[in-house]
Formats: sequence, C-alpha cells, structure tokens
Amino acid sequence: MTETTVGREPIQIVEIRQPLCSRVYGTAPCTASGPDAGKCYKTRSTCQDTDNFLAGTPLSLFFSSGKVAEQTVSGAPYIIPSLVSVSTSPTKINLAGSNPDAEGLGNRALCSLVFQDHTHTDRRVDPYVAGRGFDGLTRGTFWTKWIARNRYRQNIEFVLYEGYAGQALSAMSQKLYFFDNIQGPNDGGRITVQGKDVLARLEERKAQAPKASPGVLYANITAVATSFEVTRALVADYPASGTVRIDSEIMTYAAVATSTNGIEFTGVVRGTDGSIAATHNFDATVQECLRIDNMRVDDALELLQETYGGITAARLDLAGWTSEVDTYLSFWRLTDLITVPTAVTELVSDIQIQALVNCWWHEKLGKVQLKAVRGVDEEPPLLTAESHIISGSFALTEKTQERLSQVWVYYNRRDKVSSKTDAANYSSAFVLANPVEEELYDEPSIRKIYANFLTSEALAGTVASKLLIRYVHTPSQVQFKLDAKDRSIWVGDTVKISHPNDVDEFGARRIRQWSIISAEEVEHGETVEYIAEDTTLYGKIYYIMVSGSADYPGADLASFKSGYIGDSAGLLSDGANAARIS
Amino acid sequence: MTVIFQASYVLPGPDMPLTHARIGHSLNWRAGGTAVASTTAMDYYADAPLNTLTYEKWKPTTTAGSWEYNHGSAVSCDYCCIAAHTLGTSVTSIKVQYHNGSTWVDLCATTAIPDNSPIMAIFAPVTATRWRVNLISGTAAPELGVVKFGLALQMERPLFGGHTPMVLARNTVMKMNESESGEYLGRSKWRTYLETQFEWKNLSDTWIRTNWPNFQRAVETEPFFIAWRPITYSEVAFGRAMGSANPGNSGTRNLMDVTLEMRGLSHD
Repeated sequence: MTETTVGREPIQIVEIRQPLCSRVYGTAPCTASGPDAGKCYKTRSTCQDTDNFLAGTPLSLFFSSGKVAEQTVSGAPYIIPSLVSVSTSPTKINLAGSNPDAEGLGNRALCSLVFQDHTHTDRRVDPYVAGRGFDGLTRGTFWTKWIARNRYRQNIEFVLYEGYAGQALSAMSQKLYFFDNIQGPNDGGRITVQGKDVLARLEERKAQAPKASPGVLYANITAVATSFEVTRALVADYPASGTVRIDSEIMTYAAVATSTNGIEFTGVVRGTDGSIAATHNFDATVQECLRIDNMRVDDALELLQETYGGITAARLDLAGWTSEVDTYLSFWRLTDLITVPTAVTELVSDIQIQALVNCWWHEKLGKVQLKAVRGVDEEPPLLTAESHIISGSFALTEKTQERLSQVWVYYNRRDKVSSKTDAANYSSAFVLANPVEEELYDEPSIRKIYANFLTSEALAGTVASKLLIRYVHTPSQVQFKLDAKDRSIWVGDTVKISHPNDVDEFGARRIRQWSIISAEEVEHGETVEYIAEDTTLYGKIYYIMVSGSADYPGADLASFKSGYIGDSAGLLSDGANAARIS
Repeated sequence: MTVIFQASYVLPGPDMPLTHARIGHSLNWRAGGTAVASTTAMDYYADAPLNTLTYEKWKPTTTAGSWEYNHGSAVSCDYCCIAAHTLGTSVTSIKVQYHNGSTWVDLCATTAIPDNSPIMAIFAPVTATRWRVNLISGTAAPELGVVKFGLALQMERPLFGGHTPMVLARNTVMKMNESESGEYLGRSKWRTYLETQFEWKNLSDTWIRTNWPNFQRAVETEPFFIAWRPITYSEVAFGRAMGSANPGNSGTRNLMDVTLEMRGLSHD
C-alpha cells in the first residue's frame, strides 16, 4: 500500500487529448485545396472536407507549471508551462442510496484547471506551421487560437498526472476527466477549463431511455387493430420489433416497414403489460418502450450507460462488472418496461438501490466501477493514528437521518404507464422491521423503496434485510487525511481504522471496517482527504473450504477467506467468530 | 551555472574588468537569423533555441551533433549563452565555434558541462555570419532550449556588498506531514525558484544613458542572462526582471544607482 515518496517534489501535468484528423491536407481522400497559409488545423471545426474527416490518434498537449516544463519528463516531450492551478472535487458514492439528500449515483468528480494564456509559436498544435507564412507568436494567443480551432471540444478527454520530479509520466497517478466547458480568457489572461467524470453523460438533459419517438398515428385506430400507419417517422426510428405505447395502452409489434403514408407497424398485440386496448386518435404519439426483461444487473447497467448514455465500452470496467455480478449477484434479475423517456441517471440510480450495487467513476483507472453492497473477502489494510492518519484530521460524524427501523420494499409493478413512485401501483410489498431497536431509539425511521425492477419476494426481502442490518444503528461517517505515501487507497476500497477517538464502552480502540466513499488529493502529491462510511455490519465473506482442509491454525495463519467451523457458540479455538452460513 | 572562457582569453583593451557583470539581453543578442541543426529528434524543433521559450527545445537524434545560428550577414559577438538545456544530465562536452568562411574555428576549448544551469561562453569579439554549438560527446542526446550569440553589456562597476548569488538564492516551500502521535509521514518540496537582487552604485550618468535604456526595454519583454562576477565565480543566471530597473541619482556628483530584481528557474 505504501508508496515511496521520500525526498519528493510533487508535480502536476495536464494532458489534453485533442482529436486530430489522420488525413493529409489535399492528399486523397482529402479533397481540400488551397494555399499553404489557409490549410486546416486537422480539427473538425477547421476541416475543409468534412466528408473525409477521420479522427486518428489524438494530439497530446501537455501543460504544467514552469518549473516542471523545463525538466525532462519521460513521456511528455513538449510541456507548455502555462498551468496555474488545479482544483478537483471528488466522486462521492451514495452507498446503497442511503443518503436521501444525494442522487443515487452520488456526486460527480469535477476538475477545474486554470491556465495563463500566452503567445505561442503554433508548434505542435499546427501540423502545417512551416507553410503558414507568418510567425505564430505574433498572432493571437495559445488559448484564443485553440478555442477557435476546436469548436467541438465537449467531452474531449484530459488527464491529470500527479507525480514526483524524476518520475516518468507513465509512473504518475492519473485521473481522467472530460471537457465540460471553458471560460476566458479573462482580464488577467486566465483561462479556466472545467471537466467532469464520464457519468455526467447520464444527466437528464443528455441521456434518456427510451429515446423520444417522433412518430404519430396517421389515422384513428380501433381497439382491435393489429396494424397501423405512423407518420413523421422513419423505419430507423423504431426497433425492428418491440413494444410501443400510445396514450395509456402498451402494445407489441412484430415488424415495422415503410408504407404509403410513412411507416406501418404490423403483427400488433394490443393491451399488453397490464394495459387495456383502446381506440386512439390520429396524431397520438407512438412512443417506443424499453423492455428490461429478466436481465442481469451488469447487462442492464451496460445497456443504459453504453447504448443510451453514450459512454464507450472502453470507459466501463465490463470485465470487472461481470466478475462481481457472477460472484455476488448472479441470481439477481431485473424486469420492467420503461414507457416514457426517462433520465438514464434516474434509471441507473434505481437499479443501484434495488440491486444493492454501487456504480462510480474511478478517475485513476478511467473506468466506471461496479461493486455489490457486500462484506470483504480480503483483509483490508489497517490505518492507524500512529503510522497513517495525519494529525488533527480525524473527525467522526453520525448520520442520524440514515438510521432505519423499517424497510418497505414495493415490488411487482402493475401499471407501467403510471408513476413508479406510487405505492398503489405495486402488487406486492415486503415490510421488514426491527421493533426492538425502534423502541430503544424511541422513534421509527422508515425507508420506502419503489422497486420497479423487482418481481420476486426473495429479492425484495434481500434488499430489505441488507438495508435493515446495515442501518439499524445510526451509521457513522469518518473524515481523515493520509500522507500521499498511502494514496493508493481510493474510492471503493475498504479499510480498517484504529484511532483513539473511536473506542468501545471500555475505552479500548474499536477497529471498525470502513468503505471509502470519497477521496481527494487536497494537496497533490502530499495529502489525501477521505470520507468513509462504517460498513462493519456488512461483515466478512468466507468461502467454503475443500474437503480435508486442516483445522483452524489461529488468526495469524488462517487464510482470510477460509470459513472455519466453530463450536456450539459459533467461536473458534482462540475465541474469534467462526464463519456463518446465512 | 557555468562561465566558459576562450582559451588564453585576454581581456580586450576597452572592456570592463571581469569582476564586473556581463549581461546578455534581447537587444544585444543577435536575432533574425536561421537555425541549422545536424539532426532533430521527434517532438523537438531545430529553430526552437532561437526564441526564449524554455519549453520549446532542440534535441539531436545522436549524442554528438551541432546547432548552428546563421545570421545571414556578418555580425560581431563576444558571448554565447545557453539555457533550458540538459547538457549536464547527458554529460555532454561542447565547443562554441564560428565559421571563418572556410572552416569552423573554436571560440572555446572542449568543455564538459557539469550541470543543467545556464552557460555563458566569453570570448574576444569576432565578426562572422555563422555561429554554432558543437556537441562533442555525451551519454545521451541533450536538449537545448535557448541559445544566444551577442555582444555583452559590461557593467561599469562591480556589485557592492549584500548581493546573494543566484545559485544560493533559493526560494523553496517545504511542507511536512505528521501523524496523530507525531510520527514523520512525509515531506514535500514545492515551488523551488531562484530570486535575487542586483544593486549597482556609482554608475556614471554617461554610462547609464548610453547603456541602460536598451537593457530596461529588453527586460520588459524577454528574459536575460547575467554572469555577475565571471572571473571569480562560474555563476550564470537566466531569468526575468521582476520590475522595471530604473536608475536614480545617488546624490554624489553625477553618479547613479540602480537595483534589479530577478527571478529564474532552479535547475535541480
């Protein structure tokens, strides 16, 4: 866990990966022509033959402070020393959607870069600089020119490297963000670039599932018609077969094809999914529906984030998702019909809560991670007040609002058109309560979950049970700082903490298990600030051992994952808790 | 920080003693010519040393090579300054040369460069069109960011007491982390740069009015080189003036005093 940082001199480098055309101006297939001075800059907005624009390897532009720029950093051949400051705001996971004041997906990671604008030779950014016939230093400034040449800069990737003098770029810590906006230059010649994590693509204004359908009925239809024509739409606007909604009726169709008055849906089955067949008037919207049918959790999240959110597969840790779901959620299935365009972020949040998983952007890995709400199956690192936690940084907080004494899970959604947050719209409810603790705390604390994706009592019961176990006592949150030597600990990790401010009733330190929900290098290369939630009650996951395994050898020698059988009191020979099958 | 003298250098008659500072600035170094490099590595530029951007550099593809400045017409020079280089890291030996019309002539003997700090080669004035830095040998291909040839400004007086030599004028912010129990967790070094002040007293009004205005204007836009006492200390600085260097009457006869604040990058 410990990183060697003795004699360290922290440095930050920003790499902007500017999209660049792989063609050569005026060389087939590029048909652009003109004098050398008027050639493009190989960017989409300066392209003179847009039909043949082909994005190739992005142009890496490196920026840092002056001190760094003069050093030779392996992997960063041309560093412009215009970076003034970097500020970041970290991803924050909303564990199991427990924080009612936060979105299910938690907080987005943000990064704000401030640059000092300056004149520039146009070297590196202008592929045809030699033929321009003018000195770049005498025309405009670096950023004013860059902005003009890169109009389509939304979602351009940029990487923040944080390392130490003498390190190669590849050895530095990396955090990936995506261009959101750029401001400036201001009166002082400062430019501010703001970036977000990739999950910002799921926001309501950017991603909806299903997509809004443009088609409307060409003519009135009866309650029994099995085909109908739709105008204002193309065949490509709808799946080849699927489900649509007209007014409050849901219907499936077998095929869609071009017709005299637009397109025609055939093989229509009326009044499906609990709806009632009815007549509909011309001009009624024919809305495509998204059917999630007995789908694995990872598959549903991939569908939403990749197909509807536009996040490339390279930015989703799909292999990790599959492994996590195979191991801990293989039995979990999701079913629902989304009949109106809904924000993808809302759907992903719903799945997180109903499947008890967390999705978050891991800036360092550059991928969206997925982890089930579960115990640990590897020994978490122990952080102590003596060797890790920075003086004066440890603070405990109680999350009173997150305590639960009852969990009500509504499932088996009946009407797919009406509100999913209406309890009357569900056939079943699983109510789990802990009246003893409720009485001791002297007031109930109820959480309702509208599980539109769940159709089984077993899953609804598991959700209720896991939440109630975890939150039956007022949960704790801790904030602390570590030196950068320990910065490999990051969001999603689990740690144990030993600190004199966290003790049991006898005054002895209690070693609790904490899940990191937020991490930020508040002083890059030097100090990292963490927020963690107490997840001790998630416990530890044991694996059943092979037949013939040796007896329990004691805590020091026993494998962390091995599930040794205890005595009648559930204890091992040294008094430790034995594994329990639940 | 390296001062290189021409072999058997003899101070030209009218020159100021070598206990006085030598300054290279944008209005006394030669500009407007072209660059010719033996080879140029990818992501580097042959003409990068022509400007004073320390992040645009030339680098050959081999450990040996040369970088030439061709002014296009004959000019006189008595110094060559180099900054933003890695000649120390690459353990490179160099020679500064000029072309006499038929061959390259050494302006200084082969010199091993000890570190990456700025260099000033001082030689008797020579008139030529082509000038070059010849890389003789090294363990790796070096980078050169700024190379200038020109006629140095020679200060009329040496520096008086109180000057902190640039090599010793470090400005470093250091931070340390301690654990709850006081254990040492880590220490960081931030923002090292060099900053010092030059103070000249009793400069004649004639000398000031002849030499100083050009320097004042030059440092408003470009960095400059200074070897503050070249005969005694092999210390050269490259950096920016932190404000206008305006002389004032000292009150004694027609003499004037001037103070210059300078900031430069450290090189370690």
